[in-house]
Amino acid sequence: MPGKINAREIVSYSLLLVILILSFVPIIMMLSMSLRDSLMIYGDFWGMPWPPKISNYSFALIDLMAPILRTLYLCVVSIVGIMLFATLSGYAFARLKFVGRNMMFWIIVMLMTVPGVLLLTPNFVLADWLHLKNSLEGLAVFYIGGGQLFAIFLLRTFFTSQPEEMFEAARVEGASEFRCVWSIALPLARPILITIAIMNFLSIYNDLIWPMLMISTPNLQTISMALANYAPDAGNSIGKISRPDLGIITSGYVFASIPLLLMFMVGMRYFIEGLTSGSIKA
Amino acid sequence: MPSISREKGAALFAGTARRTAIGAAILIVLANLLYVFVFASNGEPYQVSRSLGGGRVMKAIEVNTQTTAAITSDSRLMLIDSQGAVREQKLEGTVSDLALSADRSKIYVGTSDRKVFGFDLSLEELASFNVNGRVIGLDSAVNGEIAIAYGIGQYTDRFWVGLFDESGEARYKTKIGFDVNAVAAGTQGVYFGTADSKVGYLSPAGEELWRTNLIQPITRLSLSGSEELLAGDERGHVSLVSAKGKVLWINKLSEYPITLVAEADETGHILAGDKDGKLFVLDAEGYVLYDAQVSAGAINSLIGFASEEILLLTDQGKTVTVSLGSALDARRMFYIQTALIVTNALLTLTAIGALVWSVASWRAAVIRFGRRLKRSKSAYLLLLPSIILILIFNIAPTLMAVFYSFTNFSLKEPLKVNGLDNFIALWSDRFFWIGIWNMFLILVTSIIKEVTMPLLVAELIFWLRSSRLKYVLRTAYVVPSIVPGVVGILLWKMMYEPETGMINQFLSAIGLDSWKRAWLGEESIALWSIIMAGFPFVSIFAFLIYFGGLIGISRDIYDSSSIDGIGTWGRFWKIDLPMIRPQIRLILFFTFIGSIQGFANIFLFTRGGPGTSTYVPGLQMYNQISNANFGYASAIGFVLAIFVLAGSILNLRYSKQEGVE
Repeated sequence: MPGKINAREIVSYSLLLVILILSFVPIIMMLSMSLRDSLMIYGDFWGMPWPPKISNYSFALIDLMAPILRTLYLCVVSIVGIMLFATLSGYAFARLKFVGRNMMFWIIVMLMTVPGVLLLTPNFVLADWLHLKNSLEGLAVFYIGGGQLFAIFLLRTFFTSQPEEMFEAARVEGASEFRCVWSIALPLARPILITIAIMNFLSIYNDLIWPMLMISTPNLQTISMALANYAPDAGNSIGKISRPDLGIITSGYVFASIPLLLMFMVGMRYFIEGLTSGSIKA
Repeated sequence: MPSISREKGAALFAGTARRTAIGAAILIVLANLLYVFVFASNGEPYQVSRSLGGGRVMKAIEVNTQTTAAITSDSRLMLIDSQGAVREQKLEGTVSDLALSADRSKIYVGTSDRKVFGFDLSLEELASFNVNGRVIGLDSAVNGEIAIAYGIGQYTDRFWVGLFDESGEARYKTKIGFDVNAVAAGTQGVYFGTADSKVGYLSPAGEELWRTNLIQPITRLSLSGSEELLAGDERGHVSLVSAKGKVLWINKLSEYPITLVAEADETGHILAGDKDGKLFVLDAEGYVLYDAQVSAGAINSLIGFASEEILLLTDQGKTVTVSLGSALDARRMFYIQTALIVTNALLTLTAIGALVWSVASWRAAVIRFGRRLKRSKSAYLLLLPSIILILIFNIAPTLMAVFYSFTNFSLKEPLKVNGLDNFIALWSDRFFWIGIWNMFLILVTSIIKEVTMPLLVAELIFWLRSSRLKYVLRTAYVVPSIVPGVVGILLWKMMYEPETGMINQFLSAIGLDSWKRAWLGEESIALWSIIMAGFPFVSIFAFLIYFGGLIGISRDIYDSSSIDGIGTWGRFWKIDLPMIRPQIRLILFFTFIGSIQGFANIFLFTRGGPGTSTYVPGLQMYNQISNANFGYASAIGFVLAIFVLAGSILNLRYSKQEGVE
């Protein structure tokens, strides 16, 4: 009996290992290429990245630092905006009684079912009318507007689950509603706010289509746009047909992954716990 | 004590309120009766007749009270009376303009093969002569001469305006220097309008005295009784220019080109028509007094005055009889009707308000509501930013999307509601159906991918005995997702490269050169390459959701099942799978929405190619947006949204069923 279980475990481990390695193939390829000279890659694909060619990274850094910083700025502005306004509203929906509360919340839930694909065209027209095109702030305004619904929904659910007495006590002490939000609701909501921040960071950092429609100036490109067009030339050094420099390109890919890596290191715990807590049952 | 007096006051007030309500109701009846009896409407101020002649009428002029001369786009010159065409003459070349001599005895016609013909009133040809270019327009001057605009090419400097006598002798030919679009002869000199949006004036000696800038390429010129120049242009502007070349006013009437502009009477009223068949009456200062969608084709000629009425002709050959008097009345009627509606609304509100106030319990309810509204103030203040954002960025675009789907919205032509035209066009759009089929393939394969591999990995990790290894492996599987989405796709694109791609290199290395392909370059396999990208498909989101579902299953179930001697396989089918059904449904739902809406990967891999082999509707929509075909793009979005909504409704229904179980 125990021997049989062991055999099964061996199968499990080897299967998991094989799948894991296969999942890592593109990443390993990226890391290996990023340390090699492009001409060597063209010559012998399977060569080892030794000695490592670090200069690839300095080239990619020059090209992609600006788009990365720009995209981080975009993410920070958007996420702060989403969280700020959604916290105020989520708190109001959960803790305050006002005329039209149920109807307004119902409208928000209904709007959440409107698919994004429907809004692409009108948003493009709207951006033109509001003169939001070709600016990072304009892009951020759309992300803040679009991010409201889900964030409000999550925050309302969260605040509803918190005990009312805490807020009541603060109000008895003479705290204003803004004070209640700032000093009690916000610190309490930290886990859910981090979840919202991570979700929005992932979607904004990875977004390609909407920035492509909004931004036309090369020096306002987000990192996704910059990567999609990134093809530094490797051919000139040998004076033949020009070919993209795979070494520099993959170094650029590695750079673009660093912000997500950092975010995962900080927020991984919340991210995994949020998804595996079993509370998600749509 | 104060409350008692307030009650008393309220009771007193209740009587007044009731009287107010009744008074308001009586006033409503009176106001409407007054309207019906005093200002009763008397029909539209214009009438459209049946079509007179065949072909598209380009221009027509009244010859005498019975007959009208007209030229058609199929190069016929016709005489028309109220019964239809009396006489017609086929001309060689393409006719471009006609004019009637000042004494109304001759008709001149110009053609684009450089000829000007003269006809008598029985359409017998009297004379013809050549000019040095295709005739753009002609107009007869008072002394029997003809002003002719002609030129060679398009957007060249070889355009002239000349004054000719009947035999074709030129008094002068003046080079204008840019495409001339219209010409009008005044009592003294000749006016012209150009394709670079200018109007100008030539003295009787042929010298250019002035040239003035207007806004858009000129389409029509006409002179008022006081020799001021009326000009219509390509984008619906009408302008009045003084005889000295000063722009007196410009007014935008329409999005469509102006096809007629002319003085309507001595008091300076102006008639204008556009290509869309809209009719305008302006006052002497250019303000619109009346407009109507006549919908009988482009109004392009004023063919006569009869007592109180003006006869117009459209390019469909229909006459439009406009009664100027009742058209001007119609403007007044509009104000009166608006006033009536406002009065009715105000009075009705007063009546309802007073009625509510007169019933004690209703009044109390209103007061309570008012207090609640007042107490809601701080909540509204907190909500304000979100409300504004949601209104602008969620509600407005949703409504716009639905509206645009039923319009021709693009930057090429003016916005117009066109019903189901977009959807009909989509139905017969080959690209759309190719896209739908590809989308369907992607949808089915994505569902298979998202349900099998992540679930397998979740199961395998969940049933490991070492909790430390469990944690390590779970984390290890999350690591590949730190690569940004765009990078993940671009890496796979790199792997698919025919020469330097890892896959073909690998095939070479193991001696399977014959299996090498241009993975993204061959129509038959490009879509499957895109589908297979991301192998082994351990989507981290699905994996974590399944894993969470497995954690959530109660231990008791397993304890009892192991006593019953259930195997691994049985446990998976009988316990795990049914217990994490909500998680699977969630993943199915997200995969469904994602596959219908997503096209960023295809954009990066192939942009829909090679050929149309990887086209999807989302990409088609993106291309339409880039080409500024917003109406059509919205219609595609609308169809996709219906798919998504259908998925959401199905999901909701199943989740409710599970809730009941």
